[in-house]
Amino acid sequence: MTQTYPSGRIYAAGPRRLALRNQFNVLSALLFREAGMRHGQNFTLGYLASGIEPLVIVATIGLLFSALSRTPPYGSSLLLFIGTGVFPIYLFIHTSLRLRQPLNAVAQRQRFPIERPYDHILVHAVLHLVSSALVAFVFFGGLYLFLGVNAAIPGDPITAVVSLLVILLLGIATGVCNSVIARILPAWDLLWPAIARASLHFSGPYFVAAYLPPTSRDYFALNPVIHGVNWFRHAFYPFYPNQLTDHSYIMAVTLVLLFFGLLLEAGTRRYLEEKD
Amino acid sequence: MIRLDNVSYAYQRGRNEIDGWTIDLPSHRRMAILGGPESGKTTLVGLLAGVIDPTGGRIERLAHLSFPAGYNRAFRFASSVRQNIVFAARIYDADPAEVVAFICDIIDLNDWIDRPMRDLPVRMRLSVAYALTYALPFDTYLFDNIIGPGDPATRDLWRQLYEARTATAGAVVATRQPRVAEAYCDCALVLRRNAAPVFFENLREAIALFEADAAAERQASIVGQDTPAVASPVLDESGAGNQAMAKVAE
Repeated sequence: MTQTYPSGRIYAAGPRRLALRNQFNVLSALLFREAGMRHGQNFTLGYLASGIEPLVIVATIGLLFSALSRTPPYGSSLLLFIGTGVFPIYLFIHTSLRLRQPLNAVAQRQRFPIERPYDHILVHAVLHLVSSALVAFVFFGGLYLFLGVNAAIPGDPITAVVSLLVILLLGIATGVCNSVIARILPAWDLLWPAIARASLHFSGPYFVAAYLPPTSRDYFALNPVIHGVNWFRHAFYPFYPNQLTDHSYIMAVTLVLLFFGLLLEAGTRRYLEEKD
Repeated sequence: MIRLDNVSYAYQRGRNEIDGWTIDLPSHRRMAILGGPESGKTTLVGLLAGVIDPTGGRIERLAHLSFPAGYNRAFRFASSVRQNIVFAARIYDADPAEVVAFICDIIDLNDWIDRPMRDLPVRMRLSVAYALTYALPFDTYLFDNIIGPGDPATRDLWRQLYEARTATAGAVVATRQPRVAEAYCDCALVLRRNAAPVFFENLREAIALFEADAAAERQASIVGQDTPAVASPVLDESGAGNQAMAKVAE
């Protein structure tokens, strides 16, 4: 055999740099592989495909509202109002769906030992952030350029970014909790997509939560996503009513879910290994 | 050096497979793990590789340990063979082009390299997994019973790869056949029933203890059950080291 044996390039480095380098290798390789895969199948730009769903929902609700010739619930542009609701909600729905997989029993057995579950969680979170940011740029930029909606450029971009990051974290926390629930109750994997998509209508994509009658408003206030949506809308509408925009509530729910999700994940790991 | 600090592992049903072991293992030598059936050889290799996590205690790896040789669970069947190899090379910090060239050189993959992994025959997929193990640069290569897959024709190839890699790196070979240990290793860890494992610098002493243990166990089973003992697989008669080659089911 004349072939030379591939050699390592890093063994002179100390253990800490080695660990960092390994981490970087795993994350970068995973990022590029997962970007082009969906449900274990090759799918070029598979992540951008998930951006089509909110666009379809915005178009459907927009059509329905124009057919009923309703005025926009707030502001002057119907599509902008619906879009500012649907995009953050879908960021939550998709992350909570997709982040069930990294901690799933079957997926865990189908990895090299160097890839840890939290590498996958980080990579999927970043991919969701990038793909939804791209789709949102296209949508809001399109509204501004082609439909002349001046309000589509957020007056307060920092609020927009921060609120989306909080919603992303809420989605990650929910995804971790979901994967733990699915370990004990496998049917949860079928139930959650239905629940998540139905929750779209309770998170205020096409109504102003603050204008709800006070009796039902208290029930809507329990949904953390509605607070995130209202937070996001403040970036576009400076005078948006700020009832049901409790920043501390959504952050507290995120932290509690994340805490219990990670705790239960560690606690049920043995149960998972023993089950199969 | 691999430090096991009070490591234990238990499956749900049954006793502790590994029970509070504290031992330092060399990572730069060719070490056999000698143990009878159900003594925890595979579990120990899995723990060292990080495929399973210990129930208690911790493992400190002061070397870059491989996955268990022939680990093929991580392959994505929808991706091509090349994509799978490139991914593994990237995460284990090797040059992807070099690794692909190396694997194509040792097993004839030219018609298959750009086909999806699921199209490969099982035998070929296993060969790719073993070739990948030898292609990636590790400090210590972990083997569970098998040095290389396949038929007698390829036996020399895997042996050659093993020798070349372990000339500069360490190896851990879990086996219950002293002949395999003699052929591939020069020190050994003996796993004992109801006792802590013992490390031997000298392979002969290790085999002597292992065979004494096996004989004692057979004796005990004769006395205990009053039935003739089943011939132990340890005494399987065939060529030295050949047991390390497994037949792959078609």
